Amino acid sequence: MMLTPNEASKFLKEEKKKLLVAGSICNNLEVGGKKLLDYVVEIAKLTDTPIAATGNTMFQLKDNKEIKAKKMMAADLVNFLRVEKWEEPITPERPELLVFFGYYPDIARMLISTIKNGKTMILDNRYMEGATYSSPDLSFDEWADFLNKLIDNLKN
Amino acid sequence: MGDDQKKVIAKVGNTEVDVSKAVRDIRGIEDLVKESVETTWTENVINQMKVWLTPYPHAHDIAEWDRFLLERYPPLYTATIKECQDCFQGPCNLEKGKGSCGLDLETFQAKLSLQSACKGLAMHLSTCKELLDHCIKEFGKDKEIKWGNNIVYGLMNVNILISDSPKNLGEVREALTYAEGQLSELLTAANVGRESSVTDLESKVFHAGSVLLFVMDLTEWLKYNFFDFAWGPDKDLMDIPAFPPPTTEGGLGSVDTSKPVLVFMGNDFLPAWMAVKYMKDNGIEGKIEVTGIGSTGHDMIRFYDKAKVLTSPTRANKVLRLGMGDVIVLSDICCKVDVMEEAIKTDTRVITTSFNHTYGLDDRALDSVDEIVNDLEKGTPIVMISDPRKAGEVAVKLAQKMKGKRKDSYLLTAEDIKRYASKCTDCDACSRACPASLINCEALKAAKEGDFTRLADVHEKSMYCGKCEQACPEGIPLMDMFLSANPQAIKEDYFKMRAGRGPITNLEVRDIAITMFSMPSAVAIIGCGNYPGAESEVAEMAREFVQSNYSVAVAGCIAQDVARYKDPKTGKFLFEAYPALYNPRCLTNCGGCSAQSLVSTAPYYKLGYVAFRNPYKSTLAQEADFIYRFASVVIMWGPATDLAYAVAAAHARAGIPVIVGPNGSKFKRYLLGNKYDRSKWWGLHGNTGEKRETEPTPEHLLIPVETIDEAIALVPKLSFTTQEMDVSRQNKFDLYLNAYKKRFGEWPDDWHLFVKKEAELPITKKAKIIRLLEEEHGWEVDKKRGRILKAKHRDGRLMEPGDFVENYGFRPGQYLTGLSRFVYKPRSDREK
Repeated sequence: MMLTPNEASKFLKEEKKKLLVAGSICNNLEVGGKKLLDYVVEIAKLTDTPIAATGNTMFQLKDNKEIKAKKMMAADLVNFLRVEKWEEPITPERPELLVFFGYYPDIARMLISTIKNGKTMILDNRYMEGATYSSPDLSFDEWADFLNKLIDNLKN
Repeated sequence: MGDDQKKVIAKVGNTEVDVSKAVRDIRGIEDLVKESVETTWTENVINQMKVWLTPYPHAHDIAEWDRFLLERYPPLYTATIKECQDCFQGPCNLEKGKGSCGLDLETFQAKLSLQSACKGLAMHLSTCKELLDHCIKEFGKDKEIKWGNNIVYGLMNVNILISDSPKNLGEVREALTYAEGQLSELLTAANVGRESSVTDLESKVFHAGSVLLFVMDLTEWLKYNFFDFAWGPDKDLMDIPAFPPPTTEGGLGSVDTSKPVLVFMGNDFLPAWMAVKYMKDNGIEGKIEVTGIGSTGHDMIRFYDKAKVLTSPTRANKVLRLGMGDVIVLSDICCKVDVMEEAIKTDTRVITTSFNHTYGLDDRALDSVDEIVNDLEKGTPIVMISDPRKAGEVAVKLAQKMKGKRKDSYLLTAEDIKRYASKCTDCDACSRACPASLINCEALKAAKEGDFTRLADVHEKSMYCGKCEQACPEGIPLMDMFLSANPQAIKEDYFKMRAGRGPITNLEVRDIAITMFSMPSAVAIIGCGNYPGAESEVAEMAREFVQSNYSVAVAGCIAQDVARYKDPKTGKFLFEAYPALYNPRCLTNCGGCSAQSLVSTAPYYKLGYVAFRNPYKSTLAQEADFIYRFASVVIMWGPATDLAYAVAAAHARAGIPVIVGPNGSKFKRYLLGNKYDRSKWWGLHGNTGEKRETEPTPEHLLIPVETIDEAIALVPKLSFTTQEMDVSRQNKFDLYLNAYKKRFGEWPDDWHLFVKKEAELPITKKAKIIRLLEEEHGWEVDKKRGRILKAKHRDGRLMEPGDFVENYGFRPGQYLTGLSRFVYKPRSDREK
């Protein structure tokens, strides 16, 4: 399902068991004058959601006391989701919604395709067909606009 | 086969064993089996376990070992293709249920996995066959094959499958017949209505990989025997560290464009070999630049010290757009299919030589050289010549004629760049198309104003796949713009490397066998060099490992990427800075694509020095069971080609964990362990058969990572073994914790799973570890003295340290195994 910022914020508010998953591009990419990772942190704070910091993103998050973040390998995360018993302590219960940011498209596609027992949301600048929810194809300016509107909705 | 099978008695020491019961079907191979047992099995072992060999195996003959691995590392599929269109009853949407044949989605993914591995196997089988046919025609089937001076056990990947390395070309042909038969069988299993279980299909994937390494070994030995390829094993041990010298030049900036330039692309080096021979015979060596892209480049530098490696196959677009080559000679695999179309843009002539790459052309092998050269000179853009000798001569003559008839430069001018940039409509289609997120319209906006910096940045990191260009609705020639943004960068694209030197020698492994207990591990960085990110990324990894005292071997096109790092302080390239010995703190280049099989031979040699026995013949399961417990890791940073897929499968089957880079996301199938599932992590005591819980290691057999930092941090963890010396565990532990802290800012969350005793704890971190064991994991410790008083088992029990070591993992020297068949018989049963 292709999302508007309104819809994205609605799903993020509704789903209690969720996990934000920040990929390696979050560190390096600037969107609307801010690092993509900054948007992830903002969303994490507003929704009280932990962040699975994959790639090198943990380095930028480790000193931030306002959020809960943990270094993980993306492959490990999807692997743990395969089995019925959830033992990964990043969340107390199995996450029902995984929200991905900052992955190369092939990696995103790969990760999303492995998740059978749960919903996926991807908020990058490309529409991802295999995800349960996805932002549409966006230019960088449109992407910044999308994320800012999403955050504004979460604040309200 | 049947109870009335004739006995075949082998005698080992004072013990006789009927080897007709040691194989599934001994008919036709009686002597081979007898010799294998008599030369490699010891009397002791024969009396302790059932003698069982699997010569000329089908996948099913080794399936017990495959099943052990697949149970511990169940395949994780990236199911992007969910509809099967393989038969007339489809298409079947497998997301909604089973297909008409009964296949479900997961099994369908396994079938695709096998098809991919078979394609990978077919590629090298085809190349090897072509090379072999050429050799037999030139030298005859009775021509002897030598192994090399310091190769004790022959071709290891061949021996573990068919017991004996070929002694002549006729035997190579027989060996290849086995491989061809296996490919046929495996591909049939991947066909409609055949194999129906994930495990069996993946077992066959493993087998395709093993047969691929077998074929690669044969290819390497043909190269050594008949084409003067550089060969380390022929050197004295004292000379190996400097062999070959790190004087091979590479990169776009290494080419002297004042001379005619020949570019060879593909996997078959024969046309290049013939071209060089022609040049030498006619006294024009050095008057023509001989360069190579991809595998051919890496092969050429092993027999011609003036050859230059340009770049990896995906980045061939750089060379094509630059118009660097006056003549391009294509052979099979790794080529772009649109070389001719690209070459026409820069007036470059093309000669294709492979039956796999014919461009719909007639073969001109029977035409005269002068006639072909004339046609090409006058404007024919491409010809096909299947005869490598003729192709080589035509290429040399044509390059000389074409020099001076083409432009000096095909780069865009600054005005051209600005003009094209002004066509940009700011849609960011390029950004969405780029697999590495390198480009967006901001770069073009800047270029319009004369700032080419961001375009130059893209050149630095791009794979030159061309997807951005295809996506651009305005038809902007983006790749030309990246190339032209900073012409200086092209001149500065220069490196030095060592040519490949072939296999690791027995002597080197002898030296490393003892240090292996204290050094971190062996790491092999192999595969294709095409991946997003700076070409120096993989060089950073290699440097990091060498400096951390790993023994590092490289093979495949990735070797040129490793070569690109230049130390700013010393001015030395990586291959200049480190000796070429398979020892700690050394860097060895085994060779091009087919040399990827050679990095796996070292673990087999370790058997001799660690297990104090020769590698058995035709016992892949047994050897893999052993190697699985000894630390080596393979990194494949390049793309997920079918070939790479099969190579990765082969290493995984041999018990060697494989880490794949960001481009490995297309591998479609991973083999991931789950450290939280304790039921998966066990070993059998080889003497008692006791099943004991172990550390979760190696945690994965095939895992993708996103960054080099993740790869570097993961290697020490995957190197943990369930039975290692204290100092080895200490070193790896230290590396693991340091890598995580340095790169991610914190320790990993699972370090405690690898603590077995105090002596294994890194000294500088011992106090902290002891404290955390108590505070976070419930161990009882004496913080003041830095002692573990009681260790907490994963099942919750608190145990004395001595008991803990006997209940979690194994001690060094204890024989452990994964298969009950390898557990030694009790003494009372040993006569039976």
